[in-house]
Amino acid sequence: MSEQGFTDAAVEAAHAFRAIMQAMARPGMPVPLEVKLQAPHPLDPASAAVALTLCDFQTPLWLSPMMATEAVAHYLRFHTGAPLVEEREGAHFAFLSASEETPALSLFSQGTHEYPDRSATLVIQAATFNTRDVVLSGPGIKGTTGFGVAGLSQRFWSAMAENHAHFPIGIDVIFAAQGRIAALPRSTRVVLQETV
Amino acid sequence: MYVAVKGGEQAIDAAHRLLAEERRGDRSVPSLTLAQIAEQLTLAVDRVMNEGSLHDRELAALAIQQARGDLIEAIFLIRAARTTLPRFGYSEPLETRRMRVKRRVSAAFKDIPGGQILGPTFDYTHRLLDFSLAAGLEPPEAAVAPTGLSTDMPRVLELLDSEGLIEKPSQEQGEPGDLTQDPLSFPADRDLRLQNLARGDEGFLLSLAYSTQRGYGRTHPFAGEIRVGMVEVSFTPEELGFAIVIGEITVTECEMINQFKGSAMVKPQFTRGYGLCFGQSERKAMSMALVDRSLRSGELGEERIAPAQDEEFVLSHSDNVQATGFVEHLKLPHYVDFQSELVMLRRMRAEASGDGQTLKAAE
Amino acid sequence: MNAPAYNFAYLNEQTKRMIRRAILKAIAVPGYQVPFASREMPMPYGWGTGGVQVTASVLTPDDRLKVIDQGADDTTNAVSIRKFFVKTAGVATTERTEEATIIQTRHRIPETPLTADQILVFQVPIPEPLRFLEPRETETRKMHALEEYGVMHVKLYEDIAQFGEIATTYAYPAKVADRYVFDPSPIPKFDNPKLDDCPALQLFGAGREKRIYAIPPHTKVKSLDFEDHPFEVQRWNEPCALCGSRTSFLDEIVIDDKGARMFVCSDTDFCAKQRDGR
Repeated sequence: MSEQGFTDAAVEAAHAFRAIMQAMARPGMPVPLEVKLQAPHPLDPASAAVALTLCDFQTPLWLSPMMATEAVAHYLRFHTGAPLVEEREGAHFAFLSASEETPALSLFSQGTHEYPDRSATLVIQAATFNTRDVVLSGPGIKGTTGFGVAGLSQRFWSAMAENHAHFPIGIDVIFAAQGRIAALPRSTRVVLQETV
Repeated sequence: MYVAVKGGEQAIDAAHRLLAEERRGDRSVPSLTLAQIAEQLTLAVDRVMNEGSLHDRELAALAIQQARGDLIEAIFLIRAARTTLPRFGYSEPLETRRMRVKRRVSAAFKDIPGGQILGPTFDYTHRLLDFSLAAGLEPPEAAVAPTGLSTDMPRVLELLDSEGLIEKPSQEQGEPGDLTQDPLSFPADRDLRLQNLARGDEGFLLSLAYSTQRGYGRTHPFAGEIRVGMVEVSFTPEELGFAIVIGEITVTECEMINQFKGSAMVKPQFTRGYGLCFGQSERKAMSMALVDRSLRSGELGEERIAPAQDEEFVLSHSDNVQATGFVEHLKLPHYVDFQSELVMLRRMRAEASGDGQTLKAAE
Repeated sequence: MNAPAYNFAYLNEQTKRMIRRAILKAIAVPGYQVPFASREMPMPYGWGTGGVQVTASVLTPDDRLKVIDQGADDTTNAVSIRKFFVKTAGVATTERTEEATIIQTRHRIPETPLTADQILVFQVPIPEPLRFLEPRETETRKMHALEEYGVMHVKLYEDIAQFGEIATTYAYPAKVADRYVFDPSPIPKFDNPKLDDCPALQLFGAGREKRIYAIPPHTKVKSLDFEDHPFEVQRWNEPCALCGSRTSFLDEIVIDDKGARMFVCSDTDFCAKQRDGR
């Protein structure tokens, strides 16, 4: 079986986290994430690296219908020790694919106005990034930047715009696309390209 | 020409060597062994384990020696060591009813089932310096029960409970929290409050407990039962699925009986305060029980007016490792901030006296 | 009894994951203080344990670390923290601001402008800007939730009424991205303008108070003020006695017992760079 986690956990996780942190600090900017691990189909190795870097027994995970294969569930459980949950609102992290219908973002934990940090982080894997779907602005972005993810619908981007409207509560998203990651925290203003 | 002070690194190394030298003291005097500390300074070891939140007599003894007997410094060493230890899970709850009791007293009843057991206590010693100790004389050997005493001694508070005279022990469901894993937030449940108090500074808890006796949030306490002895610690490994005994530790448990008037809904009942700590630490366990009861004032519908009833105040200031760090950090250089204050103060004074002096106002 | 072998950068991986999750939430909600389960470190609370835990959680073996206290690399606590990371992470260090990838600081922001490739980690004693106006966490948390910062403005205005100006000279409160009022740690207000639109990611760690917060790059940070009393910074009439800089924050050195003074850069690397013509 060609599935494995980190071989040098402390160092690989440190590098992966720096990439994730840079992505979160610079919304819409793809960051290379080199991974040596091997994840079971359909889990993208970059998604897997995010899971192994951030998830453990303290972070319940939710898997989308497409991601919830036995192999993926087993891999994540074995390598992170995180409990898998059926209910979206109890999940700290959710793993999804851009090639399936994204569930309503409001069904995930949004945090509270007193504890906005108690909200879910979505990890959505896709084929590629582009710069055409939306225009982003806000903390982490000098001026504005164009961004997009192959496969995500206009409805998704509208939902992300709505997510920002509720700041400081809301979810944060990490996108993984074949060796690169990008992020879209709730602090980012999202304008659909057509309506710019 | 002025040259900025350099050489922090050499200064630190030299200071560490001096410290080690001072710790060792006169080299013609034999160095202490960890066994001597663990066997003869047992109550210091108990305190370091309690507030250090780690049960390991040998490590605590090492910390006490390294800290030159400064117990807060030793507690700090133990806490820092604790950070590096892997966590396998949580033990099963201790069954203190099955304690191998070596000391057990109740101030509420003259005699109790199982009896009052005085055990090893300072309580009725005359506090006279014992010069035979200074002369190096060994004490006469005392008779020690070979295996301790009964392991099924009813609790004094159960006697009251059977008559409905005291509230039931708390029946909180679910896993207890752990403030070393999740940061404390307010309001805090009793499980987290008790954990905080168990790790809290003995002196701080003692003074708070004392303040409740002097009227700052009075709780009318009676020492229902204090018991000291050995209890088994059990742990359920994930792969086994059943509990196994992994060792035995000495603990002190205090159950306080406190007054409560009752309400239209509930008949009058006594209320409870609880304290538990490693080793023989009666002052700590009693103080903890008094402060635990005071912190329950909210749930018991009492007006919260005294410091010992103020959860945020008590829980935020009980930890001596935090407190000593922040108080002592004033020794660190603050000259940038001080310079900011100097600039401001001089300018204000210059403006007040109407001359420009050397520092002009910012544009 | 054997001495234990420590993990890379001291903290165990579970602790790092917990801190890393907090850092990401802190970045996603700029200026909001994320609670985290701060660990006891082998240095005292109040001496940089928050900064050390943040640095340990973002550090990779490829980094080059700079540590300053009061702007200087050679102050004892800066030396001590730098040695800690050399020992536990084997990381390269530097005193030159422009060579560093991570800079851990107490009380200053370097004079040399930071770049997008750098991360600035602040040590924070009291993260809550409202703490001295309202000691209760339950209350200040509500104030932040409701964006109710009236007490802060009242306090600053009382200063003006009493002293003719805002008397806060360090740990000067500012608003991050038009939402959260935050405490920039006890940096002199001289450094506040550097927080704004900074190309580097700025992370803040408060170990004893168990909070982490962040300012992403290019984020608006506005020091609180009033229209008729705009925010202003300290200025000195004389240049640095060593390098001649007229733009840096100066420390006052007492040079004899008759009260003679001289002023020199608090940022020792900046001062050396000026003198070397780097």
